[in-house]
Amino acid sequence: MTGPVTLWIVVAILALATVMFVVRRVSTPRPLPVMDERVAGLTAAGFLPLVDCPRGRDACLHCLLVDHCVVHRLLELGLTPGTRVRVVQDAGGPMLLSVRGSRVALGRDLAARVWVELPDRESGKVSYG
Amino acid sequence: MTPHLLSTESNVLSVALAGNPNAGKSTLFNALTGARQHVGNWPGKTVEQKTGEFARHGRRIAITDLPGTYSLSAYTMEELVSRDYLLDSRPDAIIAVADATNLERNLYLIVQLLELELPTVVALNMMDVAAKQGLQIDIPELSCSLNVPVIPSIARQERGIDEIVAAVSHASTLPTSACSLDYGEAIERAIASLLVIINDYIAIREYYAPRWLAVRLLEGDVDVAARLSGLPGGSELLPAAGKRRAELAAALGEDIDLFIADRRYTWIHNLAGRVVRAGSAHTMSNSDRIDHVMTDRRLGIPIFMLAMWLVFKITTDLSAPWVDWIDGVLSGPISRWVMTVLGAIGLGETWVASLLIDGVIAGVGGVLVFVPVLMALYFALAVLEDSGYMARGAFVMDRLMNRIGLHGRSFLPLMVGFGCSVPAIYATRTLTNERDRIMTGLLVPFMSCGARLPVYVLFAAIFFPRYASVVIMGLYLLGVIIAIGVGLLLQHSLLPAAAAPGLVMELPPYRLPTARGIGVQMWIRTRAFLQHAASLILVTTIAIWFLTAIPAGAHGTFANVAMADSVFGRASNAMASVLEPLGFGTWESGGALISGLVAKEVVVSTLAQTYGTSGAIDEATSNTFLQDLGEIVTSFLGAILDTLKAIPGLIGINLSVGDDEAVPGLADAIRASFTESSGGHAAAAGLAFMVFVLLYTPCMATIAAMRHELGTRWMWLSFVGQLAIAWLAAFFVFRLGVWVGGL
Repeated sequence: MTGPVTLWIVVAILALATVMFVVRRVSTPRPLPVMDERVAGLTAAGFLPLVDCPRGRDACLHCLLVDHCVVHRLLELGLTPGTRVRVVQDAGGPMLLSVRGSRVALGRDLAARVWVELPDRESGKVSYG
Repeated sequence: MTPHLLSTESNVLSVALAGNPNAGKSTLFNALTGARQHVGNWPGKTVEQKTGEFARHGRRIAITDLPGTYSLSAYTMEELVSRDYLLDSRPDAIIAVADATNLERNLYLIVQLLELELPTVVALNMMDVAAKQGLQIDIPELSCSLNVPVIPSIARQERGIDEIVAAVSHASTLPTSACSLDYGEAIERAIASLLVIINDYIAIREYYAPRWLAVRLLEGDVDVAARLSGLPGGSELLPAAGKRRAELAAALGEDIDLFIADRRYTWIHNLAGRVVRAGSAHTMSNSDRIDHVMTDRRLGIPIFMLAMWLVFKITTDLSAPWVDWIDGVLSGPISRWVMTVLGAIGLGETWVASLLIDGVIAGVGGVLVFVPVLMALYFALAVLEDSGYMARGAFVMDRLMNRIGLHGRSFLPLMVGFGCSVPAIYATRTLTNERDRIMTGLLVPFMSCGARLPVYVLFAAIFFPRYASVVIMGLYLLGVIIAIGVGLLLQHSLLPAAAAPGLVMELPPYRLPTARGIGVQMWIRTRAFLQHAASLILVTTIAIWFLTAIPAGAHGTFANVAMADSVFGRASNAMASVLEPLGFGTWESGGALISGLVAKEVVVSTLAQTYGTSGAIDEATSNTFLQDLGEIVTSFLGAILDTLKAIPGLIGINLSVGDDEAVPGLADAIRASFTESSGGHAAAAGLAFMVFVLLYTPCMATIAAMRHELGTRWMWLSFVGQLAIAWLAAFFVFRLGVWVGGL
């Protein structure tokens, strides 16, 4: 009896490994389809994506480089440009923000496309656009 | 009340309840209606609709709870449903619920509601929490700026409810006057030019609030454009709106709808600045402190797993004594009473008795045994939802679930599915997005439910006596693996991931759930199950009874026929040929699988019946009526005791499979039969049979729940799809077993 059971365990492990491989292939490499020149421009101007924003610091929301209908969902939750946001929790997955008195969770992919400005910069010198 | 109001009692006032999610809308709804509410779905949608009727101050009020939304644009199903209702059903008044602790965001929806120019009353809820946070709100000023009554309330303590009802009754009799939100010069000019056209057409002007319509058209609302295209004047209005949009886009240099949203927020921000005096800002709330632990990088997932484990244990362990009790009462005293009554009127031992006992009572039992399970589940879900933890669970699980194109919230229904698929399908209601709900609902049956376990236990003991637990574990794992595969397949075919692969969700502050809120939710949802799924289960059970009662050949008469000779037996026989490539092509296993469609619990008992090894049916013991009654009460008390005893067990982990009383002779009969049908590869056939039971079409109760929750189309997909998957997987397992292992 030992032979067959060991075999089934091996088969199960192989199946699991195959599925994991497929999952990885299908879902992980998801490059950000944002316009590179805009990202470069924003970085040069000193803005940073929300994912790089340190926890517990107030930041000022600058722009949202996401699909139109996602922009709407964010707006509805009060994430308009100029709003103060603060990263409350960053556990490696989605980020938890404090916005207009409520707590909003943002998927990491999304947080990478939300650009903010940290307040200690001298905003007068920033060229918008 | 005044005679004037009493005189209008006959006409029911229709009121819509609108507001943000987590603003206390449901609590207010419960406070207004009590348990006199009806839960269903919006026509043609899978969005939950709650309605209720009540009388206060001599007015009868029919209230419709709109889904919680953050705006009235038409980007989500919930928003569309709310808006369609407000536009087309034209309630007499709106109660707009706002969370006083979060006024700015709540006002964003409210200013949009006000633009509809329906009589509106703002219920400023959670005033107690606001006071605790040191927020002072100038209610007269807010009311004056919005130009509608604003009533402070604490729905959890049922405070302010009477005032809200009074204000609504009053407001509905007054002409409405919208608050004037200034969108800035450029937009206002465009609005004015559109208003000129709108006012030319009565059909449009009478049906839609003109200013709201103009703003929506400038925002580029496709749904509104579609509504107008059929109306006279639409052909003039739509191109004009398009032209204005183009001009504005050029002038503003950004999307108009974003510009308008920004104007709204600016206006609201200024208003909030005038009416809200904040306490000490930027302090860390208790909620944040709890979240610090609950959503922690390392602790978050273990805590969530523990919570899920508790939900799972509550649905199974706490309900089990009640399931047994209902089962015992129905098959014991109730059946005996029916037999006695039938005997008295001369119908004992006839097919009528058999139909009533084996068809109707068994069917009723099949429905009722789910009631304790669902009550327990709804209890656990209500606690998780009302406390605010549910959203945290979604938060911590999001990353893992994203891998298979699901949302963090999908994890809970899948987990519940290990207990029972029926409550799991209903648990998909906690998902806010229709696509996620369907996807999760379709994957739920792959989680091996508790009812399938006895089959594994029996077969593993027969064919793999030394490795039974490994085999059973493997089956659970296989279910999960197949679910992942099916999830990926669906994601790339029928259910593509939404354009936005990302979580956007508000995490409400933690709150202590109220007994009333939980009680109402348990009762209302369980009742909805009884109303919707019960009939299908009952009908199927009775249908199966008829199939086993009707003789297919010359042998036997109606209701007095050996199973093998009944229509059921013949149908099982026909199935046997389909099952032959899987190694268990016998009419006995075919019959067991068919009856497993009614409930997986009966697979083993049908096997015992078809192999003719089941003992004689318990002869009715000659209990008196009072003895029976006593027995029901005693067993009821026993069930309470068992439930209490199960509570400490919730914490402990008890994986014992439970030593099922083995049916004598059944094991030998199955082994012999499988050896024959598989050509000597009994173990491979046994494994294939288990895999088939794991994967094939879920039971009728699940099918009924699916039809109720996901719609008929998806129900059929699941029905047929799972049958196909089960067949293929069992075939693969059997052939592989024969080929490699010589099992």
